[in-house]
Amino acid sequence: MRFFSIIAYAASGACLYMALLMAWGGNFNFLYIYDLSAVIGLIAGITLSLINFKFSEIFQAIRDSLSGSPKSYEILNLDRNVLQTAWKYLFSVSVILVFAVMVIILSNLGDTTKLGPSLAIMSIIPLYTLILKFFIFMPLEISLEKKIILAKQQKIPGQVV
Amino acid sequence: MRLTSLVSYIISGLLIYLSFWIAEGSNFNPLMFWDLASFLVILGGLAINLVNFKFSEIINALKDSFSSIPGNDFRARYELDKVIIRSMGNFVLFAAVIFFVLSFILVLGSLESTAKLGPSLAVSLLVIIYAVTLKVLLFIPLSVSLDKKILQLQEKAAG
Repeated sequence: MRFFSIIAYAASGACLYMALLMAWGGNFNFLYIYDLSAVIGLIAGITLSLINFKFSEIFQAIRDSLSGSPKSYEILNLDRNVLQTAWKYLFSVSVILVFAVMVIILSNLGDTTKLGPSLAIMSIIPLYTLILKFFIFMPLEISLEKKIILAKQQKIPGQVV
Repeated sequence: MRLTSLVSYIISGLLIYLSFWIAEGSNFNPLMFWDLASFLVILGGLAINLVNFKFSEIINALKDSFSSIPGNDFRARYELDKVIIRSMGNFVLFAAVIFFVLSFILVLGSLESTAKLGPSLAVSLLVIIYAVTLKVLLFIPLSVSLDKKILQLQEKAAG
């Protein structure tokens, strides 16, 4: 990962934050979007990746996508597979959680005053998932994809670029 | 880019405008669709592409999708260009959806004033409109154009 990547992250985060401030002004408070149960649910989703991959493989995938050192086509493909699987598990768990919360909300519809806050908490789970995809999974996957294309360019598969 | 592409852009834009005009009549005002916050979100979505790609690579990808095929050795470059264009479209969409969900949460968190509910949700939907428009009018045509070039190169290589 280049040093400039950090600046790009910061610029993107700043744009999103400024947009939030513009749209919501002083009403915006980060505590609105904090929910411990959602965090635990998403950690469960990420942990599910250990069904298919060792911890070292996951760590290796992250390291390969961040490092600039050349790797073979097969290793990079496996790394991409690891990240894609982790994302699939995370996404599936978040969908399960959203529907579970929806069932709970719908079964307690008698008290309409709580409807808004309950729906807000329900939306926090997909929000966390999307943020993880946007800031972590997608940049890592794209970085690997770029390296895979460079490795493929070398005619012999497995040859170090 | 061919001249017919430009014509098809214009015809498509006019038809969309006409459909709005028929649906909303005199109530339709293009200024209703301007929101600086949504514009900033789209910029944020575009800026994060610089994590993986240099600015020059992004410019090259845009140039390559407009230019004609220079030679057979460009296939890997076109594949990289396709990844760049696709990731730009995806990042913009994801940024928009994140902002929409955030706004949705904030709206639901302050449901006491129902008078503001409609306008707040309408503004939060604008960002989705921006992102999808950008994807449909820019990123999908560029990506398809690159796809076509890669296919042509494959055919050439096959003989």
